[in-house]
Amino acid sequence: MRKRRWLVVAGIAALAASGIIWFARTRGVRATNGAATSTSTQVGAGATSAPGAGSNRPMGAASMDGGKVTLSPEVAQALVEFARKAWKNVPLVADKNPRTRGIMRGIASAAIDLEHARSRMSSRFLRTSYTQDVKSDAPIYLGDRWGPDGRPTARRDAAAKPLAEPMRTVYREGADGTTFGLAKMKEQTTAGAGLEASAASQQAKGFFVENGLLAESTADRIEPGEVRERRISSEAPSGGAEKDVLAQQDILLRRTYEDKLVVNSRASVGVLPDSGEVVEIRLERWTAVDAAGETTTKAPSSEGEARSTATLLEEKLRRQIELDLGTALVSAQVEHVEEAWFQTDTGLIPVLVFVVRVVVAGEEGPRNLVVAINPGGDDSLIWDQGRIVREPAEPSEAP
Amino acid sequence: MITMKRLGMSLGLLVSLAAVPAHADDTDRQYGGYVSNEETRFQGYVWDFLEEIGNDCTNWLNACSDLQDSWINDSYSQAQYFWGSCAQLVGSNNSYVDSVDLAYVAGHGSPSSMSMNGTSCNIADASYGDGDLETIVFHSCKVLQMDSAWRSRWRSSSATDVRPFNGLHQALGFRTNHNNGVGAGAWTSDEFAENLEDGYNVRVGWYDAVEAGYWLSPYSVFIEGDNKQAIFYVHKTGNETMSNLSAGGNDVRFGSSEYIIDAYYRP
Repeated sequence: MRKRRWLVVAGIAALAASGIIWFARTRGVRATNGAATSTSTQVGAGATSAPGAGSNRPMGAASMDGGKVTLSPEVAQALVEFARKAWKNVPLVADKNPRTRGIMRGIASAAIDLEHARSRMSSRFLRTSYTQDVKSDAPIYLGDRWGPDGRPTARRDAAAKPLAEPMRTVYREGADGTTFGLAKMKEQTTAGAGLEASAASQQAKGFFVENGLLAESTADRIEPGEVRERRISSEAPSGGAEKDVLAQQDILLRRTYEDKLVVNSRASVGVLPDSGEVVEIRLERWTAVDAAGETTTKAPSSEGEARSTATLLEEKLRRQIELDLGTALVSAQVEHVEEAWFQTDTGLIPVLVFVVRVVVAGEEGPRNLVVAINPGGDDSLIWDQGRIVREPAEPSEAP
Repeated sequence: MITMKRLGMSLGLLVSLAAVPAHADDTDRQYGGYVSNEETRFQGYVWDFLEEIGNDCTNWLNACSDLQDSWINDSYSQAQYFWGSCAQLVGSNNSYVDSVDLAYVAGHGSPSSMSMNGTSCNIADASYGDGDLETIVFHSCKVLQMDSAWRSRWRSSSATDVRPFNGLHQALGFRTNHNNGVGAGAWTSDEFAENLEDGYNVRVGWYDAVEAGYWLSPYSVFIEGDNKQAIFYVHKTGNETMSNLSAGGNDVRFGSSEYIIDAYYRP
């Protein structure tokens, strides 16, 4: 940092001379990128031709032709049906977060000394990381339990054992009180088969529910998500057979509210397959709701109103595809739409999630694009999700 | 405050280093970014990584909301941030990706190939690590595809066989298509930088960053086959953190009994 400060002082004189040139250049960057980041881009307006391969200007920075996006009849019909219905917001339970934080800290304390760990606040994700190289470790298991005060009530093996090498442990906590993560840089030493998928999901659900981190109701459900494998393909040292072993199971749960997915609620654990140890815990934006406080944000619509609203939703979708792909887009076929929920800072709001098959210049064949829109408001609420997004600086031409 | 931050960035540009070939490991700690111009999002991927790694909130010119930063901010410096070309990846790579400790590359990809400025670059023909490079990120589709021939594309089979692992410690990327759904690409590069700052080893840091980036798409609609990450790495240096990268002396090449290339991946 001293070096950087010295450079700052040394550069002041040069800065004064180059300032005017630099500002002019920066404005140019903003204008170029603005077309790709603004949520108010007009579909079909201001399209520019893509530069040739010899230019280093970005090819995807300008508006595109909205006619490149087509909707399947099923998707178009689903938009009208969604527009015909009443929309509602469901508030979160107001005092849930401090209790969740206390329990998560209790669990994390089994792995890291939060009093003495180094802390770093992220200016991107609005969260604090606590990091420590621990010299002893007490394993956490899916059957371990902590009370509402964060104190352990049932641990399979709470005795910490010394480690041969210090182990980096990271605990992260979001400023809004709804995102938590614990990661131990620990890997298995012997091969293991891991847990069968349904048993894994059941045990993971038990870990979150019985530790008071998640609660279920008739409308707000915790469901099995996916059991993902991390594998290591190891090359044999002297021409022997290659080995492919299971390194970790990531057990993901999913949340539904009134049978629709809450797309940004996440609860998962990472488990070592040989020992059954939990080495990662993630709980994000999964807060109980106050169903009694729900409010209607749009009354049911007549057929004519529904068609008008569906047209507006389609425009929002087109704009989001444009923001993502710019003029690199050759064609986009919207193949599927899903009604879902999104947890904001204050409650659940309805969102629409689309699967789009896109053909993009420079890519081999079509690929998938997932696009989400907020029917009742600003789409950046979904796309940024609290992350601080900064405008990228333009790269230089290489010497 | 934003203007002040931009002034800081401009100073960084003023003092940015010219491309100087690196013929061996050196003790500096540098990272670089290389952006294909084929889509705007590639610029976001690379810049978000570089900006987070270089985000020094204690610098009075920076408009940050906190006063705590990572040791990486003080120890590492951004050496290059260029519009990408094939020469930077293959051919003149010792002046570009192989002149820094960690290179972040974004563009369209296919197995062992990147498209830069509309030109396809064959990564299998590159020799990385005979310069300074330890870690290279390919933020793109399929560059790390794991078919039956993947090791032969990345690992030398004789002293004269030119392949990327020639002192390189790890290559990070995707073995499948990379579906950028709902901003996941930029989220991933941000998260990867933060993971490195928090002392994750590079391998797990990338794996977990990809998982974090897809916070929405795997939940809303499951698309089989997309967004599966892979890390190819030398077994010996598989647990390196960013603090180990420029230490030197850990390079492994063909002929060494430690020349063992492993993959950490999502099947």
